[in-house]
Amino acid sequence: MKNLILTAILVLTLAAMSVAEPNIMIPKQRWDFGHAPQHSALTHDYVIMNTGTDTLNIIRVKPG
Amino acid sequence: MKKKSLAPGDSTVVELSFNTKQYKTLIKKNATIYSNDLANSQSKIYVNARCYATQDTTLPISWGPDKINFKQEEREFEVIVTNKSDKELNLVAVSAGYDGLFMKIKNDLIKPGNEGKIEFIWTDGFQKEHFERSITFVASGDSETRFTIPFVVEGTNPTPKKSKAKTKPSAKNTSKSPAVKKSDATHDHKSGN
Repeated sequence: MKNLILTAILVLTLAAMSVAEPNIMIPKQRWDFGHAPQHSALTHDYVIMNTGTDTLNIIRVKPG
Repeated sequence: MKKKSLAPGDSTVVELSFNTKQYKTLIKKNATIYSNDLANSQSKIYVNARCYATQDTTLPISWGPDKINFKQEEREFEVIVTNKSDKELNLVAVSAGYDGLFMKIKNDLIKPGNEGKIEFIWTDGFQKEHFERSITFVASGDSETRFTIPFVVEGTNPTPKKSKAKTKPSAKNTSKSPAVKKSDATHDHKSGN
């Protein structure tokens, strides 16, 4: 009985330790356009990855 | 942003757009991405550009035209890149392409004094609203020269003209004219990698 309780506690502890979490990863956070003419729109696509174990929600993107 | 919710192992792209306006110097901008990653709830992305009114003549290359404007009647352009240095230069595109844009570097190894050519063809249709994107290139030899060619794909919506018609005041017509709504300039073009 005592062993059973200890095993249960161990299982619950391990389960608590492995809580699913999202993890945002941006492989390349900087982009250099180099020389560019005035009065033009420059665009770049940044890749965003979720390397975690839970769903990653992107709440908003705010220009600095 | 194509997707706001990413399953584990999934990915998306965030497009950052930056207008060079009348800047004539090195401009640095950034944006913050807020997410539910508790360990990293605010991630920053950065861009920089050396904006110019006229190209720097001390650079080892010159290029032109330095902007492209695709129209229904003008879908093909050729950008000439001239090697002004005494070393061979290798010209490559470093940014991803876009759906609808065919691009080919005809002569990627440019000998001193020679020219390389970049062919641009808009193969897709034209949407109601115009949209703007850009492609970045690097010419490398002893040093690297990085430059970006912005392009505009014209919309099919005619530019709204101000009405010149004048109506005489009338006792019967006392109602105010409806306010003119500006068209929603959302860009629903999907870019691909």
